[in-house]
Amino acid sequence: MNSSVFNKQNHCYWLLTLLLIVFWCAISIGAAKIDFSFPFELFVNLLGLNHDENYLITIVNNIRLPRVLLAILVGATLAISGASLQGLCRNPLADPGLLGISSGAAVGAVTVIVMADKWSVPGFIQPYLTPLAAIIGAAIATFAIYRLAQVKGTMQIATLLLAGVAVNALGGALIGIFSYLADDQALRMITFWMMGSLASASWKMLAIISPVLITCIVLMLRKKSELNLLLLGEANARYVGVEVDAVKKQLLWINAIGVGVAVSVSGIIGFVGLVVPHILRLGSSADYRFLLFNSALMGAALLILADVIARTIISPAELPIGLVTAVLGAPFFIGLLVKQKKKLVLGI
Amino acid sequence: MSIEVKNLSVVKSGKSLLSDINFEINSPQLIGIIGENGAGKSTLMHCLSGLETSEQQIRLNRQWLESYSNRELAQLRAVLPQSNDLIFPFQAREVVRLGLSLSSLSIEQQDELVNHCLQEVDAYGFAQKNYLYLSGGEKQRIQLARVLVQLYSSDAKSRYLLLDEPTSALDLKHQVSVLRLLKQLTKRNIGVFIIIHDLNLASLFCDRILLLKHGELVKFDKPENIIDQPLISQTFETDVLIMQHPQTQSPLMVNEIT
Repeated sequence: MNSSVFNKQNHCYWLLTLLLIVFWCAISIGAAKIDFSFPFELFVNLLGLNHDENYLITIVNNIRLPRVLLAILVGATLAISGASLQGLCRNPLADPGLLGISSGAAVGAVTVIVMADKWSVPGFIQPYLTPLAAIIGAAIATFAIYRLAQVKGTMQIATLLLAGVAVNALGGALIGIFSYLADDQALRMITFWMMGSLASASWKMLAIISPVLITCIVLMLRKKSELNLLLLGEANARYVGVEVDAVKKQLLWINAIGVGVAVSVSGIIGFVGLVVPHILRLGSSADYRFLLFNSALMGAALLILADVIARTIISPAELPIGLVTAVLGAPFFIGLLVKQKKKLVLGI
Repeated sequence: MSIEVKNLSVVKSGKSLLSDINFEINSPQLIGIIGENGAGKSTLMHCLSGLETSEQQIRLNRQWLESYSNRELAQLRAVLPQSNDLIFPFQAREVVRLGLSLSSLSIEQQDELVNHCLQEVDAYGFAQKNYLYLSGGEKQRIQLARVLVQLYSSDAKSRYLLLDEPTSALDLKHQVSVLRLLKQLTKRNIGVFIIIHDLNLASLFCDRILLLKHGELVKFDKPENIIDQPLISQTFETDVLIMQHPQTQSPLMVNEIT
């Protein structure tokens, strides 16, 4: 028996340390210059103790810092959303990307990107339009998948993945159609954005999305006991006192809103929601009392890391972050499938 | 504790699963539910648990069952279904603790209660192990401990326990120890319903037995009136012989070999 699986101590201090280290590195490393004293200088500057006009610090303040903060928010949202979907579907392969929730959000967002010029929208609504459309797309996808995958009250792995494939295919097709309607600029935006990127991060954007994402994360964290009980099956959860239908609906909505907003600003970043909870289940605990919070921490750290790789590996050019997470995550996914297959064949 | 079942019928996709069941229980007893496969035993248990929504057919403590919320019902009864799979690794004792997920007990009180119930079902020895790697019988005892902690954590005066074949995977020793435990519960004002296929165990331990066939209540009576040669042979469509237990004189049955 692997004793580390059941280490009673919660690993969140380790993960917090990891997050801090990655955060420090991400602020320090970039195309302009690599200097590990940046975070310190930035801190002094933000406190107003020193006002030198160092252009590097301006870069760090206006470009790197918002980008890292966006990585934290998006990474935490995607990971915690994957963890909660896996509990909700009682299925280890659930992930907002694989299930097509991200695709749904993308369809919503792309609709706005392509059509926005053609509609006359008051200026002050503009920044909210893409996230709103993404939420609607994500919600439609979420509930469609949930309905499709349910066979006699339970989620079969096969039906769940097939429903994901179907929704992803439809999403891809719709986005393809839109890309034909799009002008050159919108097309470039769509292509780049379909592969995920945190390049659009800015303080203004953070001000809009962070309240939403933080609320989603907090609401999800508050459902930890219910998610634990749902692991025993819906009937058992009901017997222990969970208002299952209400909780399911709430969780699906929180997921749709969180993923929708995350996708609207960062594009489709796959595999974070799949990989992070699994690593934690192997190395720490499957107990949702720890798993949710730890997933948020680790998802944030992982996405910061992926973004550092994305913006430095072919510097000064930039790789879409979705490609980085896919390269890291796809082998992991294949490993999980092999494990599932063994389970089905051997019946263990 | 009082449960009143009145004209209970369940029809699902055109098929009648239960029809016109009537009985009443006014004191905490160990009640065995027996019958052939597909007789409606589990459906009856779903109804009694409040999972199947039935309109004005079951009254619990003089109130319609459907008027209770899940939260309220969780204080009054605990349910152990037949299959209880987990998909992720959990320590066995943490599975037991899941029964307390929504309770307001402190961690220390929870630990104490979990330990107590683990000992009651003789599962303390493997409580640190991964639930997924336990044997069928060990899993069953862990799950039983889980529903026990849920029930014990409630301070409601009258409570009841619904168990769907809790002894199906247990060895000889634990079958008896679990039934003894259930019998003791009735003395602590907890009513117990148990679906059971071993008629001899039912005869030895149950206060009363509900005999179902084709969704109908054949008879609800004391074991000595249920474990009866023509009745059992007819209901189960197989010939049996009835003997007497040498100590308790309660009826025992064996298959008749032809």
